[in-house]
Amino acid sequence: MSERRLLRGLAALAAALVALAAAPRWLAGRGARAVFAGERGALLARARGVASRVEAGVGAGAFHTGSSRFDGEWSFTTRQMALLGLSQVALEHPEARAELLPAVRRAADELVRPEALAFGAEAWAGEGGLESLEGGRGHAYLGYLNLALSMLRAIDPATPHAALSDRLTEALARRLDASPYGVFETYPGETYPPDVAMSIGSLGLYDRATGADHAASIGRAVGHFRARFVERGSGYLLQSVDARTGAPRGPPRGSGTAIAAYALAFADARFASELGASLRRAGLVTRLGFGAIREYPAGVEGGGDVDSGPVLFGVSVSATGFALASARLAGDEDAFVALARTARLFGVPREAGGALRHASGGPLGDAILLAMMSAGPLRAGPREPRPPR
Amino acid sequence: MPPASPPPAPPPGPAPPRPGPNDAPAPPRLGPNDAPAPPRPGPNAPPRPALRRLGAAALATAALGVAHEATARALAGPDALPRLLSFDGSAGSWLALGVALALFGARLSLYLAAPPALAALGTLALFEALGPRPAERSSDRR
Repeated sequence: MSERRLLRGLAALAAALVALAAAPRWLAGRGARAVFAGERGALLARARGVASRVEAGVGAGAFHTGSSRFDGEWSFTTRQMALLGLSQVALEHPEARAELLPAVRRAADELVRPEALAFGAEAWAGEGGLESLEGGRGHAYLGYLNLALSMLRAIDPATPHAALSDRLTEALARRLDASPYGVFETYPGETYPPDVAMSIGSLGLYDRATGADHAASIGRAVGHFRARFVERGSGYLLQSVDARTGAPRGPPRGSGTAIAAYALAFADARFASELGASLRRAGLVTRLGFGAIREYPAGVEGGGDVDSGPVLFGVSVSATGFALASARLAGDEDAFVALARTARLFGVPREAGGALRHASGGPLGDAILLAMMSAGPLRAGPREPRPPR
Repeated sequence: MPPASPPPAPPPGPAPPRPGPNDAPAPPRLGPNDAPAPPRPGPNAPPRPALRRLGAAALATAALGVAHEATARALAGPDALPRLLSFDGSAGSWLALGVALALFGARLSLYLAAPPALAALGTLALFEALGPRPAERSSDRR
């Protein structure tokens, strides 16, 4: 009798363990491999969800961070990521271009409006970023805009924003070339290599869309990044530095590394791939098939902020979401699916009318996930690393 | 004719062994006031305990799933969850936080807790279905 009871208990325990190992990963992983493979239905549902967000309007009033700068940044980034994600889906599935192009154009129109960039002008004491392109300084947040406009050039060559895209690209290239360490300020006294990575990526994407050549500017800036801003042990990118001295001002961070890896893939696939590999080697944590990325490398303590989102058990929302891109770019399906499971578990996706939205991420979360999960089109080829001059 | 005599009694066999000092005491015999033995389960007998627990767990999981789905749908439209980032200590913020915690609690339960619990209960129910019932076991002894 007691043997039978013991056998029954062991069998129940074994069944529970097998179910724990298999069921959550299956439940949360549904559809992830289809997204990784770029299947039309999987990507288009997400694209439709984002397009509907754009059509509904995603102004700064849609966000409530408690800071007008962050509300403005989030609104701006939502449109930028929406434009990138929608365009990537349209490039991967050209038959969807006509359906998605109106939302792409609307996002672009709204991105270049002065009110969309008011958060930057406010930080620079009223100096508008687009009004000070010639001979200006700083405003590295314009790299986000330029990456979007470069993508726009690729998907909508006749865009009325082409002239602005040309001027902005040249202004950012000049600022990169003039900077002693390949970085320049986002806001006065604040320099973030991940923001500058957007500018570098935008040059590469611009080149691919227009046939221009900024290889020298890209190579020089990437050389500085490799030499100064990548932590040796973890391979993570420093989040904040001093533009005048190149000295670190903050620890390396997973969120910045992951978004930089996405942007740099348009300019230097080798460097982007190295950053992505560092994230998966030093930052990827998996439990029961769910993956997440450490915000800080081992031995570095830190909390969450507006860049990382909440940091729980050392992993961050932003790093985990952004790292989807480098996993897809590297063809690392297992890592992609593990990260996508976590995104599904905490993102709470809902699909209605063929459009998929996430209940917990809002417009920004939807746009970021689409851009990261559809990363791949127009990526750059590898470049030989160059020493900084 | 000699009177009929009863057949001879069979020779007595060996007496049963007497209980030793270390043997367990014999079970008490049923007295007139003792409860009767439980009836054998008929076709309309209630389900076995493990099966009943499995059914209750499945029903609870289904109810949790429905509640989760309804909450997620209700929150997805107005983007209520992202607004938690602007938590300001007001009654509305606390309410939103409570709803969000309930939603994620339900979600984690559905994804992580329910499958192993159902699997364990299902296994117990399977053992129960394949093995003899308690009443059958007691009658077998008789």
